[in-house]
Amino acid sequence: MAKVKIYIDGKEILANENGNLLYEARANGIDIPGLCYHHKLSPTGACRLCLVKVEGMRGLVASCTLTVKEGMQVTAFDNELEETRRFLLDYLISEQNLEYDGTYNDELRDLMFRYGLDKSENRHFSPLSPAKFKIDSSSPVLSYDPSKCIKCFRCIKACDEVQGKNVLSFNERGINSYIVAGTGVWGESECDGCGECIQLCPTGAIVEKPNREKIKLDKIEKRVRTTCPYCGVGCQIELLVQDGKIVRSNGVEGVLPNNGRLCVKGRFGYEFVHSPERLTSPLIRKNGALVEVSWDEALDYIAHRFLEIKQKYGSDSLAGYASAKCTNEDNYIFQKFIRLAFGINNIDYCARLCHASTVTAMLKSIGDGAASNSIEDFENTECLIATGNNIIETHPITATYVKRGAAKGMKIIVIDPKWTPLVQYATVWLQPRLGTDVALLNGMIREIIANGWIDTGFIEQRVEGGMKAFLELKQLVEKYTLENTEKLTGVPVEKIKEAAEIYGNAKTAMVATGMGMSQQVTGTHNVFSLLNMILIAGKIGKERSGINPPRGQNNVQGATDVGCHPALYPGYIPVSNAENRKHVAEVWGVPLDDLPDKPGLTTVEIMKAAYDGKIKALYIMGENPMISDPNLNHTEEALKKLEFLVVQDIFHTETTKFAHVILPASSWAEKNGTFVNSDRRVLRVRKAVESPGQAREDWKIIHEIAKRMGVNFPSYADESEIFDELASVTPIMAGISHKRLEHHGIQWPCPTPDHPGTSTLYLDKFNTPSGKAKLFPVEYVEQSERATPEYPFILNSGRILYHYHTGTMSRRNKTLTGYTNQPYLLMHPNDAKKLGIEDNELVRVISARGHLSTHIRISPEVLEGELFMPWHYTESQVNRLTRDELDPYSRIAPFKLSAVRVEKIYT
Amino acid sequence: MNIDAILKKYPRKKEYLIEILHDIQNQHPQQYVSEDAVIAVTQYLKIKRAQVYGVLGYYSILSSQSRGKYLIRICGSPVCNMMGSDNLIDFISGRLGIELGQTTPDGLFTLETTECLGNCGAAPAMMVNQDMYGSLTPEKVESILKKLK
Repeated sequence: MAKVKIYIDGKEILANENGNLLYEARANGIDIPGLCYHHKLSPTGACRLCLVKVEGMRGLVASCTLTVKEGMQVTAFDNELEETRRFLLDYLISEQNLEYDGTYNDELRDLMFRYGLDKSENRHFSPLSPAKFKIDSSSPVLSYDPSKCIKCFRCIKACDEVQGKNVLSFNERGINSYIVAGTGVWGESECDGCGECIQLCPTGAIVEKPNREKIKLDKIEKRVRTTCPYCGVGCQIELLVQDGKIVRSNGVEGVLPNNGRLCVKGRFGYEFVHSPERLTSPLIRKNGALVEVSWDEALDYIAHRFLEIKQKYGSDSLAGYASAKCTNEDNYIFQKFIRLAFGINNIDYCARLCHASTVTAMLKSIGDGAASNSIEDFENTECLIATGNNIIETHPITATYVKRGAAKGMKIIVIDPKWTPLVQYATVWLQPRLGTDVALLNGMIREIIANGWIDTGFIEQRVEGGMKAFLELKQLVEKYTLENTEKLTGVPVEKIKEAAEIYGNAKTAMVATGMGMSQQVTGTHNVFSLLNMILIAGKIGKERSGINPPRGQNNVQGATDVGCHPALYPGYIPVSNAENRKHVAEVWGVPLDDLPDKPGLTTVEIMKAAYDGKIKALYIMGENPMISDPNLNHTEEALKKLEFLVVQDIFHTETTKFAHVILPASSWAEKNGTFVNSDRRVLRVRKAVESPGQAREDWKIIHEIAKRMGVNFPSYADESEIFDELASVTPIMAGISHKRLEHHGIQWPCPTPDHPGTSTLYLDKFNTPSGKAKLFPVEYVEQSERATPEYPFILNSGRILYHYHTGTMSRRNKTLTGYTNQPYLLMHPNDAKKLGIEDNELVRVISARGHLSTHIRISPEVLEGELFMPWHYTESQVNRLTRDELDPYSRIAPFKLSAVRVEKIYT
Repeated sequence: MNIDAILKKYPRKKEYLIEILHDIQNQHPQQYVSEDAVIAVTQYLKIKRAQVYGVLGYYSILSSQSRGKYLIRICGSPVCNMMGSDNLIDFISGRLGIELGQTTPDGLFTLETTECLGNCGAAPAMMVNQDMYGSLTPEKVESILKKLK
């Protein structure tokens, strides 16, 4: 960044060109006071404490409102300025409730001491009698005390400019003014509890509720910087630890991916760590009952049983589920264990159930299965297509970039059969019927071609087969005329035209593709047709343009990166690649023959093999298939048939019910390591607290079992040594080490220790063998599952903001359950009327696979004939209804589309 | 009152918020903007509730509380104050049995103060709904109230 020379109190300073004067001064150690300024917000100039004198300008000016200029001469401190500041501060304090309970940072109070205004003899203004203010404690996460508010605008701007929510405003005027959310009651407003306002409030007027009684800032033992354990954004958080427990979580300012921003889960979702329900001792099922045993007994028993089964039935009878919640180090050791100790590639995990189809299509077409761009691009691109991706609820911090972009004029196209909050920010919302994505995209492709919005140069230079391949696609989409597409999808012609025009004409355009696209029997084809559109429009292979599948879990990206995949070694190298196997065998110190070259079974296939009696033993680390697998009745039968099931987790889950041995593992806050987020950023995870009872880090448990099975892994001194080994067999991470990740994450590919990481993929070439991208023209095929007289509705499933996957973690946080904790079924008002069902009525939902009961929520968010349910809730398990019919290419299951009927329950 | 009919008269731009709120309030028999109306406005203009509620709270002429059929606004400017507007407030409070900002239980009267009415030549002054009254004394106010009842 270009620099300019400025002078403050005679000191020469090299400041960033176009920098904010107050920011630059502070960055250079000149501590000009100020309360309303925050580097993330537009300058307000309300508190006047940052007044300075600038040569050539009249009077005293607020430095937060000035941009530095070459040669600027600034006086920051002299008697007049300091006296003016003291006077202003004195005045401000006279209106202020000065009570302080030590639970928050109070910048006003700090300044009061700095200017000696804590002593009454230095004060000129006697306290004003405060207005009749009421504390608003109606929110589940925060309370607001107007008597401590200095009306600095930081919370209002935090909500608006940083988070893009804008739910706060002032009410009343002058000394009586105060902050309101909604129509005066915070808990009834649109506030979703992210707490950005808490983090930016300078005076403790807005404070968080959890641990308010307990926390004392002067008793905080340590502040540990780590990575959030929920979704795949990878937010950097700072955990405050007091009496050995986490008492607060703040966003870390100034680093990517989140620059201090958090969502409600990241800020308030840590309570589960200290839940009394945590597993604290190994348990073995003896005569049907779970009995606490020593680690030695449990580990010996597991090793013995695994070996016994391996000898009796062969390696084919063993399999493992890795975990998207565990670190790269845990997962690397786990896949190494499965490959060496079990001697088979039967390793998979829940990525199979979320983005397997996306990854399959992307690997074939462009060569990498990960996001092509960086999170910041979501703010600076001209156009965004969010398809099947409820980004505001499932990736709330990525969504802040989107909303900030929208405020600057970004055009947003939402493609989703169900309303999502992003529709409020969208230029156009296409609402196709469930399962018609290929038809819609082919229709858009045809429209883009018909109007000449294609990038011929890009097609010729960067697409395999060039214009010839393009013409094949053109011919295939010919029949998807606007009218035809409307007929197939239900999306009006006008909207298809508008979307194609926006995307086709944008100079830069990003696509965020989610579970709505991937979790279908046609998942891979959906993503192929999406890629076809991106490629012919030339909207990839440059900054701010590309395809980005936001990843659902904190380390779902990393677990595949490090080889938890039945067909791939770490770094996406096929198991069949003999040269790589040779290299890995050398690093692992085993004979080449010990590494099987045949791909193993995938997640749902493992369960089917267990059902068929082919898989006899299963080792599950941090997964809960008894909620997350499709067709749970079948999964249940499969688990019951296993001769030996080991589940390693932090809580009892729906799956541990079937386990023969349960092992207590460490939560994310109790371990060191790394996660990889959605934009391929490798981020540090650091231990903040001790594990409860005898719970242990996952990799250490696996290491012990391996040893007892006669497979000797090196004795790693710590997780950084595991990472070093991992890096040596994972070319995309070869240049990364824990040391390099100390201050900020690095985006793979990072091949050498001096490589800065890669923010945008495919700038020069695609990662395919030819270096070019490939078009895969695909036809729309009608879904095999469709509405019938017996099952007249199509059920969609998904996630909500406040809960997370199988609820094992999120439902053990009072702050999150305080917002919502009840399953429901969304139904269109017209359907409810036809069935005579009232809002909140209890109903039974039945598919050909199973049934459940839940309450109805009547809402036009879904189309007539379609339904939606969140899948987090064990009391209404959506996956009792879903199918395990798989996408033939990626083996993903169609969670988004099940034919069901809804019956009233007469009580 | 049909909120949708009112909203439809205005473009969907937040610049029209204040005009919309005036219109809603003027058409409501209780001279206020209800919570339901606030929500309808937010949906129409695609803004958040606090943005509407904050505007209601900022302008004293707008209200989020149900008000009487007759809205009495006593001028609180310095001139009227010197000419005895406080006495008028006390008098009306006593006659109607309500404090400033309150509404009589029968829903007839609401008592408020207002910024300068520009009627300083005839201070103290007040407005009742759209009608201006000046050179007020308790007796004069008494007869105005009687007429309205």
